[in-house]
Amino acid sequence: MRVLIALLLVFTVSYGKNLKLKDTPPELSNYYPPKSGKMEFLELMHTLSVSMTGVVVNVREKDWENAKKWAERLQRNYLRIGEMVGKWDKLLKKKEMEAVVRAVKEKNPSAVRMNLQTVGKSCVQCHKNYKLSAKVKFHSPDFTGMKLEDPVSGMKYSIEDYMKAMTDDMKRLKVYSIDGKKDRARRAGFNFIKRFEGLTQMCGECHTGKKSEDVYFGIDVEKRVTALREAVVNVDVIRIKRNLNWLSENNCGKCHNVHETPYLLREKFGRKR
Amino acid sequence: MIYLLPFIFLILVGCDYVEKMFVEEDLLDRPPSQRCGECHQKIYNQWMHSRHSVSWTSGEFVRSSKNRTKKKCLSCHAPLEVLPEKQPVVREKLREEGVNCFSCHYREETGSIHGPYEVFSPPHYSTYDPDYISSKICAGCHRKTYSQWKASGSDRTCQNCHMPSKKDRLIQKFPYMYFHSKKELHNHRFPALKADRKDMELSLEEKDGMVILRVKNTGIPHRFPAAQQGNPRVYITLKGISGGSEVYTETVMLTAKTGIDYMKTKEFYFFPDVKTERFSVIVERKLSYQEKREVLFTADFPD
Ligand code: HEC
Ligand code: HEC
Ligand code: HEC
Ligand code: HEC
Ligand code: HEC
Ligand code: HEC
Ligand code: HEC
Ligand code: HEC
Repeated sequence: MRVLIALLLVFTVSYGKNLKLKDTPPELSNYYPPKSGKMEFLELMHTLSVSMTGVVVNVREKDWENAKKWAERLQRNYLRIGEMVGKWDKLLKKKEMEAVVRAVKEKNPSAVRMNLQTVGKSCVQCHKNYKLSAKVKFHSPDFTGMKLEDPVSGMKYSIEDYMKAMTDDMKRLKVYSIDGKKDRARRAGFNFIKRFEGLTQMCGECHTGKKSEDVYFGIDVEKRVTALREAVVNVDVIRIKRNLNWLSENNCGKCHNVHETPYLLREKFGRKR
Repeated sequence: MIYLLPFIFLILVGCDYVEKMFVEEDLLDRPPSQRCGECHQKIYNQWMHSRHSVSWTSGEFVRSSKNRTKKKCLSCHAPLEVLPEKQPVVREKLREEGVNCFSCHYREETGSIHGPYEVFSPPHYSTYDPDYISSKICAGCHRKTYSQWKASGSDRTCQNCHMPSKKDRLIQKFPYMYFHSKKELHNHRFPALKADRKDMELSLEEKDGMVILRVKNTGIPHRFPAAQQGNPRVYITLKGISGGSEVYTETVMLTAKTGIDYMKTKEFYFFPDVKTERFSVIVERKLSYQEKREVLFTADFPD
């Protein structure tokens, strides 16, 4: 059984090595914030999807008048993909798209179906290659250029430097408390708590409403911080560790999964867009 | 003589007709605020100096909304129509005016200007609306602050504090201003106000080489500092003084998430590793759009 799992692992890992994420053509960013005021490309995609359904439904119901309307709309928007992103023009099945419109006009259901399938395949093919990259590049949290005021020094830090300073306090608190250096442990502990609570400065940059904030800074976390503060005051090694571990798991860890991981992935595509 | 004019009209042609005759149609078509300022000069000037008038153009807003491309950020910063306890929708025109006159006062439903008084206002139809003297009118945007305020059970409304009033005329246009009696004019600068020593109860305890400072918010019926979306900060600094000179100083920072609720106490631990005779507490703040800290108040221990 163990061998099997190990084999499976080797297999998936070696398979995983082939994992590739194709970058999207640079022009695509013209159709997303901040360059555009809207998620224009995504909106186009939703229009395409609705038009596709419009054709299928109406052909099935033999409402040729409306089918024509949707087929033309589909064609118009499908061609816009190439107008927006030049490099993608050649991925489009323009002939088949034209054939769909013609078949609808000629009221030929089987020709519609056949050509629409080819068009549909072009959708799927492009999604396979690019959809995930687009999600990472345009829909993940963007911390680029964001600054946080450091409550200890009063200076503005990048998120990265802030995280480093806070982690440093955390490690020092552990070391000094284990070593029995009470004064230093307390100072590190108080600085950690200041920086930890200071993290709440940034949520409002991206989130509206209280619910998201409360996931990482709700009543449970508040209680833990109070308990940690008490443990720091008493330099109680066991309680310090227990509370820090809880925070790492439930605050730092969870927030990193949601924000840091996609952000780091995003950075892989480069800061300039 | 001038006082008689409207009465002569009334007698001659009847109320309805006068109303229609003096109506300036564009006022009920969401005009630029400057248009309202032609008559309501004082209010207009106050509003021009308020944060509401810059809520769309504020540098911090532009930056943090990624050049206003985050759609969910727009509605409260350029609203179409403010309704009690409802988050507004974003408007299309005159966005640069931010939270402006018509957004707070014009109502599609009645096709008139809503306000706190029963008035005779020939240029535009007006509707007396008790919501205007209630905190509810602020609630759709200042959502978090409003719910904190509600939980406080305070009998003072947002307007009582943030729109202080004075007896004055609502319009300053000659000669019409003399047709109208003086009323309470509420400050449309919407001042942020400043917490003072009386709003906070402070106590200091020395224990086991540490100093515990307790701060209780007894005066402000919402969190200190308060925010919906901005990032105001409060700084509490403890200074230790010995032999006439400062030997210790340390600051803690509060955000709108970690601030002090009404009638709640927060404890702050300081760890002065030197001998001190006296302590001094300095409370400062930096509002979202401020570059520098400003002092709110100080307290000395022992007094
Ligand atoms: C040349 C590339 C390309 C082609 C062709 C294409 N798409 Fe897309 N599509 C994308 C990308 C990239 C995204 C991701 C956009 C985003 O998330 O912002 C996407 C996303 C979508 C989505 C949204 C899915 C989601 O997860 O929200 C729909 C629906 C969609 N496409 C429909 C279609 C249809 C229908 C067609 C064919 C008629 C089509 N697309 C053709 C590139 C393409
Ligand atoms: C740079 C922008 C940014 C900042 C700053 C940020 N987030 Fe997020 N966060 C996002 C994005 C983007 C998502 C993905 C879901 C979405 O679009 O809302 C997300 C998702 C979440 C989620 C899971 C989905 C939800 O909304 O419940 C939580 C919880 C959350 N964030 C909490 C926080 C907290 C707490 C802070 C402050 C410590 C914070 N975030 C700071 C951008 C940000
Ligand atoms: C808003 C949610 C959030 C919370 C809460 C959070 N972090 Fe982070 N952290 C991030 C993001 C985003 C990055 C990536 C920053 C970058 O690379 O610019 C990061 C990066 C880091 C890094 C790597 C810094 C480097 O060297 O690149 C460390 C270490 C870290 N965090 C520690 C912590 C600890 C410890 C805690 C809890 C006490 C914590 N973080 C809580 C969002 C968060
Ligand atoms: C529910 C209404 C509402 C929404 C939605 C909203 N805001 Fe605001 N915003 C306010 C209110 C009310 C204030 C004033 C109180 C404060 O400081 O939070 C404000 C203040 C601000 C401030 C501080 C004042 C300044 O100009 O510097 C910034 C920055 C800001 N908002 C940015 C944003 C961003 C970014 C978003 C979207 C993530 C957003 N707002 C969404 C209501 C809203
Ligand atoms: C944020 C919403 C808001 C904005 C913006 C606003 N007002 Fe008001 N206004 C109010 C409220 C609330 C009152 C009632 C105050 C009270 O009675 O407590 C009021 C009262 C008034 C009154 C009655 C006199 C008074 O002061 O009570 C007039 C006249 C008036 N506003 C005109 C204007 C004009 C003109 C503008 C634009 C320059 C404007 N308002 C902008 C909310 C607003
Ligand atoms: C031509 C002059 C004039 C202009 C322009 C004007 N008003 Fe008025 N407004 C009046 C007069 C007169 C009154 C009644 C004053 C009084 O009774 O003391 C009044 C009263 C009001 C009141 C109080 C209503 C109430 O029921 O409490 C509000 C609010 C108000 N105006 C808002 C506005 C707004 C908003 C605009 C711009 C869209 C505007 N006004 C433009 C003349 C004007
Ligand atoms: C349509 C949404 C909206 C409504 C309604 C609204 N506000 Fe605001 N308010 C804002 C925004 C947005 C800001 C932040 C503007 C900025 O600084 O960019 C703000 C800022 C403020 C400030 C901070 C001023 C400063 O100098 O820091 C105060 C005080 C305030 N509002 C009070 C009120 C009161 C009182 C009411 C009700 C009578 C009210 N607001 C109604 C959106 C609103
Ligand atoms: C008893 C008087 C009082 C009442 C009632 C009151 N406030 Fe305040 N508010 C204050 C004081 C004082 C401050 C200044 C705190 C400080 O020093 O920063 C303040 C600060 C604020 C700020 C922060 C300004 C900024 O730019 O960050 C906002 C926003 C605010 N109040 C909104 C409201 C709203 C909305 C209501 C009603 C739900 C309300 N207040 C009710 C006294 C009051």
